[in-house]
Amino acid sequence: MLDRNSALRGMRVPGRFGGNAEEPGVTIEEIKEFSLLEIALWDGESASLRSRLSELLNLQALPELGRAMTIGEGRLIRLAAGPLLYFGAAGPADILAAAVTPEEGSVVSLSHGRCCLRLGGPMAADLLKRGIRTDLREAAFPAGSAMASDIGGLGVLLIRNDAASFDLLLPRSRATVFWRWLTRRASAFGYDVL
Amino acid sequence: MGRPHLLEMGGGKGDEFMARIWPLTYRRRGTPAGADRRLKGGRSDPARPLEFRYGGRRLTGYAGDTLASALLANGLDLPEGPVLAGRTGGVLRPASIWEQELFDGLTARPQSRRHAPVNALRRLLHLERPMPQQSTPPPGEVEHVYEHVDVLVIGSGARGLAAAREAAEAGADVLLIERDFTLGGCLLYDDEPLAGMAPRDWRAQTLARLAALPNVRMLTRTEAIAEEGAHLLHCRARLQDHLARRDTHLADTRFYHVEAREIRLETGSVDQSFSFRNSDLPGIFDFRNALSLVSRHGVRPGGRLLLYTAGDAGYRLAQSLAARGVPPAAIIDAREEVPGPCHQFARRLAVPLYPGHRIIRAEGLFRLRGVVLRKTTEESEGREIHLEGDCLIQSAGLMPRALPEGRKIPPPERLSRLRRSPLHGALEKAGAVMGERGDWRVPKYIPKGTEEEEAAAARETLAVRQGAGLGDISALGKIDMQGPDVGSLLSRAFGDAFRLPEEGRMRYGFLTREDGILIADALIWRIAPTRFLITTAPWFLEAAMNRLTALTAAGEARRLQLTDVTDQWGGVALSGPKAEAILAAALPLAVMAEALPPMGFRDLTQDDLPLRIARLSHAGGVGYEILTPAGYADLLWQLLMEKGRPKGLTAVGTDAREILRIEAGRFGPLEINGEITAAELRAQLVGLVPTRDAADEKDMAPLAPGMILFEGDGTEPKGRGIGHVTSVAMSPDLGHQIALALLTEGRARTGTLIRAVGGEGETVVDVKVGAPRFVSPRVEKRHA
Repeated sequence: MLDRNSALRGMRVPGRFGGNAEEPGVTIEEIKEFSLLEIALWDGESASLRSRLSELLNLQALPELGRAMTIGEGRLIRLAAGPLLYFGAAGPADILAAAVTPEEGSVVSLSHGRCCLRLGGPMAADLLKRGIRTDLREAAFPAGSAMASDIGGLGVLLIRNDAASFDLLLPRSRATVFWRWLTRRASAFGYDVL
Repeated sequence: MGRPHLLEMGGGKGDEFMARIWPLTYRRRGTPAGADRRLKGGRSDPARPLEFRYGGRRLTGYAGDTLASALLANGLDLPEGPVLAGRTGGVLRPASIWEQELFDGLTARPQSRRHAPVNALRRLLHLERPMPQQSTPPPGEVEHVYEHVDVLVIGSGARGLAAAREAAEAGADVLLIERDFTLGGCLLYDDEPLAGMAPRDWRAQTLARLAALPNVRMLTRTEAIAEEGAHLLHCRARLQDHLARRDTHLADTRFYHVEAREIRLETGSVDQSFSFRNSDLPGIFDFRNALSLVSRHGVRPGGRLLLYTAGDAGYRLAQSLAARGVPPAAIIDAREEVPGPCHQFARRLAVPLYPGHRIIRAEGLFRLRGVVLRKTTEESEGREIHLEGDCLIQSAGLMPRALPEGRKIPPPERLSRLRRSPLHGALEKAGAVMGERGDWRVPKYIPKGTEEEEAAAARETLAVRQGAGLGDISALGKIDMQGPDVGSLLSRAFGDAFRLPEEGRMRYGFLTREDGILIADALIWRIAPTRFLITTAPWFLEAAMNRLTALTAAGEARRLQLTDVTDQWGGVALSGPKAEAILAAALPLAVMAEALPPMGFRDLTQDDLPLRIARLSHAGGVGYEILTPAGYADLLWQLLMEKGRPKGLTAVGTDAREILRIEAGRFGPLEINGEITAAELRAQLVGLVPTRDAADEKDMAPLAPGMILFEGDGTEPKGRGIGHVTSVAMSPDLGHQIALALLTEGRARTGTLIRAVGGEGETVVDVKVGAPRFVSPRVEKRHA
């Protein structure tokens, strides 16, 4: 297995930065190895596909709109619009890619095309509010929610893991631009790069 | 308190004369520097003195002071024009004197020293006052915060705090904003009891209650600047203007964009000013500012106070002032019918009252020295009364404070559009000089030692022609298309004549609009029976994606999926006569099986490295384009360079690739310019070379994109010409310039001489028309 080269190589330096050094408000971790699949189904979920997914991944139904459903070590995500997404470990991704036939739908890997950052800490949501216009309060965007959003003209996928943890996926080619923005904005809270 | 000085007409002229001839002396005498105007009480804290500078003078104020209160406390007049403020040694920016918080090391000065003498002259000549200009400080570094709350309360006076508490206690998520640096608004200076409590106590109790509620946030130094609909308010917070030392972790300005179910505007009211001549003289205050000075900051606004009112509020103010030891010297009431209790009040305080009088002018050139009154009922001939005083506190009544109008909504933050290739790091390490091309940061050239750009590009170009070059093609636009209906979509997109390639093969196609105008040229790769990859130049990607998406949406067949996979793949172009030998050394699996046919590709994995190898060349001749998942692009580059370097493999930048493109006569964004059809492009695209005479001319003005083409028959170049030059390069292979051009009936003119004219006609180059291909690449045998 080859090591995937990070889009943030040379920029992402572990350590503590910004103000509030005693108690930084944010942690930033890059998830380097992950699978991201875009799964389109031509005519919705056919009976045979449903039975295969149930058998292979114990997946009884597709997630609701705007929700991420855990399957194995990954999550199947259904955004408000567009195809399904799978994000997580390679195992379920391989199963999914093999399960969907060209007659039923398409599967495209975007695993190398995105950079994934996991944001944590008590001020993680406040940090995201510097760029995301959508309501991120827990009542409006609870754990297990996912959405496609925009930060300064950059399309991102945001998943809420729990009250204070988010996964953010962004285009690899603009990862360094985003990193500069993110760390500058996080500076006010103080942040740890893991 | 004795009666005020009644001056006859003409009184005080001596002072005005002095002011005319020697204004500085006059000012110093009128407002002795260092005079302590501090009163007991107030929130400004004598235990925390702060040093600041104003107009070059070193002064002392207290924590909690504004610049205005600190200046007045030091016996100085407030400046007439805008002030600049900032940290000592730092940049001074426009500031509001009433809102600028004092801090240790603050430096401030009037924006212009001319305001005072110009205004004095204007007053002397009885000229109209120009509209005051509002200076907004530059925002500096800006950040945006998008807030969502149930209730937004603007203002932290009694009503604002009560509204916030009520909403929060009902369970609402509340945000309260206050433009001042201290919460409390009018509670900081009002005397009126609230719920049976002193305002100060009520404020403390309510703030403590709000602080204990987890669903309330309160922001100071934050002002509402614009409404957008009923539920969105834009606010601005200044984060650094009060700090003695700049906090490097903070932006200067933060814009809050608050969406709220309910917006409560509790900004209180503002004083309306009376209209009279010279009402802008230093020493004239409205009620709120005066009360704030006295009650909040413990600063006496002047020595001899005159109070001008049109309602009972003026008497309440007089009572407050008297309670703090600064009773007014006189009260002027513009009402004709002044209620009895007001008369009684004035008598009790022994303050002269002028009922039914109005001020017709304020006297003084540089600061207030007195006012002139006349009975409200009398016309201009009526008797004038002169009252001496250095401070006039006035209010014609209150009006609700509205949100400011005409403020612009701050534009949203935009991150840089520039993208980086997965090979950016490797190329930077190799010493590449980076530039911008469209949305991408690209390696322009990779110099050896101190090599200049042109020399490096020429060397890299020749390396591709004579040996082998390796360039980064990761920025190529890539679209994955899958589904049973993709074939029909591609036929619609690329024209009926377009034939789909076989599996494992590629084909060029022109993507056009409905009207036949070219959008992009693209390469269509057939990955599987119902799966294709479209690659196109980076600058065509957006238009291509939009066109294909529009066709998908318009079509009835929906069983297809388009995905932009540009970022998923990194890629390199390996070109030149030695390309195949290098490929064989680096990636033996790629050439071990049968050779790839031209325009063929193959997916394979070597040493865990997934690869898609295609045989095609951007430069003409032998070439391969190799794609790999972006995270492995670095590995691919290193592998090829390592194996290829002994064979003369050279890293190639975009400058050289552009020369190679033009030499090979391939289209770029200046040829496919959004105005031409495919048929027109084929018919009009020509190659141009300067004639021998022109090429030999050392001082010859060079060919340049945009030059207009004219007939070469010796007639004067006039009109729109017969075409224009699109792309130009200096070909190191040929040793002279070459150009691509769009020329009317271009192909039919092959071999003819025409003229390229630039600028206003001062640059003329004779050129020969030929095919748009300038170099025939050498081909070296496989495994050579």
